[in-house]
Amino acid sequence: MGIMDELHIPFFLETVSCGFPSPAQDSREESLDFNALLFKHKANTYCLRCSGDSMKLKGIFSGDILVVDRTIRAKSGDVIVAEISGSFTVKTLIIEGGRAILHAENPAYADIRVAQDEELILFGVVTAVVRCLR
Amino acid sequence: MIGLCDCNSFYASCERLFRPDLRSRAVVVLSNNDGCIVALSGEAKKLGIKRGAPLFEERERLQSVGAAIFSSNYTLYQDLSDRVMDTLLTLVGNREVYSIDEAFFSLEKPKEDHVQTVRDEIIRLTGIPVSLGVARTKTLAKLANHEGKRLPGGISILYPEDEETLLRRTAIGEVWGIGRRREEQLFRLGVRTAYDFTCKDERWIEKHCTVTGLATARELRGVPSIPREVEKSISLCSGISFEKPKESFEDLEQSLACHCATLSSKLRKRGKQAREITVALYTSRFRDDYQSPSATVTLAQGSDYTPTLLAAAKICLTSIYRKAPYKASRVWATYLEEEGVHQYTLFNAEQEQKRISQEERLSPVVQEIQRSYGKRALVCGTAGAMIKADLMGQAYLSPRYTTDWKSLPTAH
Repeated sequence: MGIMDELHIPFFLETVSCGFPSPAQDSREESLDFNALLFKHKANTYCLRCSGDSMKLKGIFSGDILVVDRTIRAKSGDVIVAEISGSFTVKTLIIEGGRAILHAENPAYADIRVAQDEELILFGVVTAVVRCLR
Repeated sequence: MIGLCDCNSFYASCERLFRPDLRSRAVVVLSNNDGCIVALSGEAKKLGIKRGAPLFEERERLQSVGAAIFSSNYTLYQDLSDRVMDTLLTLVGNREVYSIDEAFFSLEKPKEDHVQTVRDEIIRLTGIPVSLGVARTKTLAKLANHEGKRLPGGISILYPEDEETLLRRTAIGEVWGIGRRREEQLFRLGVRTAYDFTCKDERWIEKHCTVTGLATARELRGVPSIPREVEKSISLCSGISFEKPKESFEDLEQSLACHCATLSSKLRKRGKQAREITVALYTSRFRDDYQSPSATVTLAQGSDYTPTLLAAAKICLTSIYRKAPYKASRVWATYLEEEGVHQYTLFNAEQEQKRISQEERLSPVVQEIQRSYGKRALVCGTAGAMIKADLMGQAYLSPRYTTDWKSLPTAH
């Protein structure tokens, strides 16, 4: 699917002495693979981009990449992406007395309460946030 | 038993996945060139719009109901298709991908609730709606799937004891593998339903419908007769890294010509034809301004003919070319279909037929010369005008949401 090329970062547990057969040879471990870290269920993980500052107190900012894993069943406290009036929104899901609340992590935004007869259309649970600094 | 997982209005569903605003709006997807409608959401079907209708005939009606119109975004569809197929594999442990939106799988002693779970899970995990049909053979599974699509649960298991009832009310033309021409022929011979067909003597069937028809008849009788397809190759690629960087359009074009000749012979060898050609250029990875522009052209017909492939590649090149020191070029042939299984475009079937038969006559000759005198003995001169009509106009193209970092869907 080519979401990311594999990135190999060899990781050694010992330093290498020059002139001798490397004593680290037997200690080589698997390279760090960000795909394995971020895309645990590759076929069921989608990436979205965050826009706006409604989640800033959770450390999620405009422009961040949201890694959304659909295999995970959402529970109260999860950061989720849901469909609200025709667009995607990223919020913290709070379940209170059997009712869902979409809570923004920014006091400037009011909670979105999902009405009893309304179905919350969940897109998926955000499992990671990726931000490139340059 | 054999199951068929079929995505509902696949292209339209793909377009909808990242557009919550389209959840209940009619969606149609256009063919290459944006010429006619090739996929419709349920809402669009309810309007009475037919698959294959030219856009200009339906444009007004579509606009009046606020329908969303899309050009074919094969990059998106292929990625979502892969996801559906992988998910199916995870859930049932096996799978045979048949087309971009269909896959067969085998299932021992299928139970209604299990099949329902598989279907619901695929939808939950991918966001793409699917229907499942299960029966004794692939051909019957196709019919079962058709039934499933009509039911609210989206699944149907066809048990042997119910087969006859279903076959009696299935028109022969609805059977998988019975084309329009065969349908007309069988109709003249008095075969109206799938059941009529199964009642015919095997020798009669073979005489009128060849061994292919015989396999279909056996399948309808519950005897699996369509073998598992050997590993379908999804794409073929030809690429080269240049010793010295190439900058000029002509030099790059020449490299593409070599790739296309290679691909043509690879395709011929496998009896395949490509529906899509992708070209990518690469500058040096070690430079700060590393770039790898790419473009894709879809052909109206599958082809393994070098001039057609090259003409497509050249159009890609024209659209991405910018003067830069390129280190490598690559051409992919994708959407491979079986040789001879031409899906005619709706408008110019006759003209297409003529062109295809020309290509079919010429291709072996070209191959023969290349075999005898080396691959480069005969390459294309200009192939410009040849496939002009096949080019994609894509006025309504959606973003490549899942394969391009710059095109990710937004969440507020």
